[in-house]
This record gives sequence, structure tokens and C-alpha cells, in this order.
Amino acid sequence: MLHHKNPFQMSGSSDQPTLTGQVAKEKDSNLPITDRIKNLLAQYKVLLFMKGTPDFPQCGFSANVANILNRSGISYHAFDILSDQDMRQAVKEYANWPTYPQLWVNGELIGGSDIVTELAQNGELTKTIGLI
Amino acid sequence: MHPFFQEIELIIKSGLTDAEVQISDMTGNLDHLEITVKSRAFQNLSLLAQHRKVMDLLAGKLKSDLHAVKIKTIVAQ
Repeated sequence: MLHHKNPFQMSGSSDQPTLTGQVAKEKDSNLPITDRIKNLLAQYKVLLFMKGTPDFPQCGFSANVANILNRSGISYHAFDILSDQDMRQAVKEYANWPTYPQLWVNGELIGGSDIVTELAQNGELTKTIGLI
Repeated sequence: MHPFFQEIELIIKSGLTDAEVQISDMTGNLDHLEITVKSRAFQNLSLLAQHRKVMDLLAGKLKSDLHAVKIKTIVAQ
């Protein structure tokens, strides 16, 4: 993977916005995988499946989405799919979406880095998340 | 146009017959492409659904020789 040499322009990596993301905590990680996913989605209104954590993203695209959420003042929880290979595979299949990060709001997939970037640029992100 | 770009464009147009497609190579290695697609088929769809239409067409390519794409969709009227 090309995480150390990302060719894309990421918004704002130089200064540090206030971190609005926290690590998601599963109540029970021994359930069948689909139940784990459904429980996480039910538990958190705004959930980001990402590589790494909000304060230590492991991929430029994940960092980009975390940054956008931080800058927009949107509170969110993040699940590090690098920490759990079963979840890494299962969420892709559950979502029918091949890549991370994935931003989910109210149990629905909003999109990855490109879509979240575009929604933020055209002012629709906060509306999508229901803050306005 | 690079033959690989032509192939990608043909794949997209096989599913979105009215599509206008623009492709650029972001790395010089042809493995990260920026693909802009304009189609009437995107009308009344969420951004995710618009991207899904393109991603579904490219699914086979993404499993083989295409590592990552940056997709931009434009709704044609």
C-alpha cells in the first residue's frame, strides 16, 4: 500500500484542528461479525471506519476525513480497521464498498474520502449529518 | 490517449452510454487515476449512489491492475 507516499492533496495537515473524534468502544466483540457491525452502527450516530485513530491516522485518506470532521466540529467515533482483520474484511462486504475510510451516519454509508471532501466543499456535510 | 485510459472509458460507457469521461494519471504509474464522469444517469442520486455506479463498472479493474481511483461525478441535465 502507498500510505507513506500519498499522491493526493489532503486538506490541512499543517495545523492541528481540535480533535472531535473518539475511539469507538464495542460492548461485545465476541458476537458474530455482522452483529458487531450492526451494534457499532446502532451505538454511534457518526461512525468512521478508518485506518488508524483520529489522533494517529495511518493513511492519508483516513487522515483527510478525520481532519474534515474535526474542522467541521462534528463529533464522531472511529473504529480502527487495522486493529481487527475480521472487521476489516467484513465491513467492506457489509457496505458493498471496497475501500476505507467509510463514514457512516445513522447507520447509512455516506462515503469515503472523495465524497466526504466534496460534501464538505459544497456545504452539504453538516446537513447530511443533521446538525443544521 | 493512452490505451489503458481508452479501456477504462469503454468500460464506463458500457454501463453509462451517455457518459463523458475524463481520466488523468495522478502518479505517472497508471495505478492511481482521477476519473471524472458526467452522465444523466446520476440525476436524483446521492453522491454515494453516483460513485457506486462508476465503482461497480470498474470493480473488475480495481481487483486487477487498477490500485485506486479518485472519482468525480457530474450530473448531466
